[in-house]
Amino acid sequence: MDFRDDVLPLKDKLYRLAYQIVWDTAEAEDIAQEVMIRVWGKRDEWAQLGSMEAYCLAAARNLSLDRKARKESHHAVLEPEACGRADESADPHARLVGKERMVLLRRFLRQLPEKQRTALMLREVEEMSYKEIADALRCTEAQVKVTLFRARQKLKQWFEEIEGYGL
Amino acid sequence: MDCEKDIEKILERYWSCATTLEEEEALRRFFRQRDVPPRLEKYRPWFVEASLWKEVEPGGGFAQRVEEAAASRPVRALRVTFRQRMMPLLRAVAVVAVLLAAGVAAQYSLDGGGSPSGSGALAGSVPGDTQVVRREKPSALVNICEGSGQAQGQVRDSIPAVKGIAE
Repeated sequence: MDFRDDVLPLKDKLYRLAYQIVWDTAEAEDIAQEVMIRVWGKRDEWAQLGSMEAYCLAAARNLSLDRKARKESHHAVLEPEACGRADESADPHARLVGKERMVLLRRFLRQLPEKQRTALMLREVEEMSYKEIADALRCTEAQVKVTLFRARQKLKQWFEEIEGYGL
Repeated sequence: MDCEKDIEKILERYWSCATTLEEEEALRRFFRQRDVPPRLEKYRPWFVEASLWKEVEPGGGFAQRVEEAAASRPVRALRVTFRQRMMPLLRAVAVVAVLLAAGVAAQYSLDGGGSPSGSGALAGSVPGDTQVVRREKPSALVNICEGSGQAQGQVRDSIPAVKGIAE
């Protein structure tokens, strides 16, 4: 068992999961660090944990929700720059519209129920299977599918509405 | 054109949560390219967003900080009670006791239940031991018949004496 090989590779996933709940980079780093150190302290019990990644993600989610409940973050909406490039359309107008849509999309994502947003993120960003997401969210695969279905339907509906507004 | 139709089909299945991870990756690849058909352009921000999220990582030096924190974490000594320490020994003693009891019971039944005479085989045998019952049944019946014959003879002999006493 080695911290660098077994625990540290999870840092990005844990950070991203925590970040989309607390919306605060320092807080998300703190949560990811705490989870990794906690799981390293429990290395004698790893055999009983089943999937260590699912355990860490569940712990990070719970910790993030606790911290968020204790102290609501006042950080601004995630700006496109915070995630790197915005849109690579060649046309400046299209780029502007794309950037505007990105900001609106992020605002919409923040308004989604936390479970739907987390399930979406684990599927879209971390590319996890339904089973892995179910393990991380401590629910059944069927519940994950329902949660994702609702989130995607809302997303689709949102795109239709945005188009209707002419954006 | 066919590619566009395929993408539209996959997209429909995507909103219904019926796509595989590979198909979802194909969608992300498609929307990352510059030439997206105008009617699908509205969905581009979502798939670009998912790609951008992958670039969200903790700040520089985070990994090193966590490693140092994990290394400096004091190792907690496990407290083992006397009872926990003795548990393997107690288990071994219990297993030996069970084996001994089973051995003694087997020996006892093989020795005919400790009865000195052979006739005790029937009496000492376990009810339902059909072999013993079958073996001993004829002699037992003969004994019963002989016994009842002798009893009848004794009763017959004693009748005159009883009559005499009555008179």
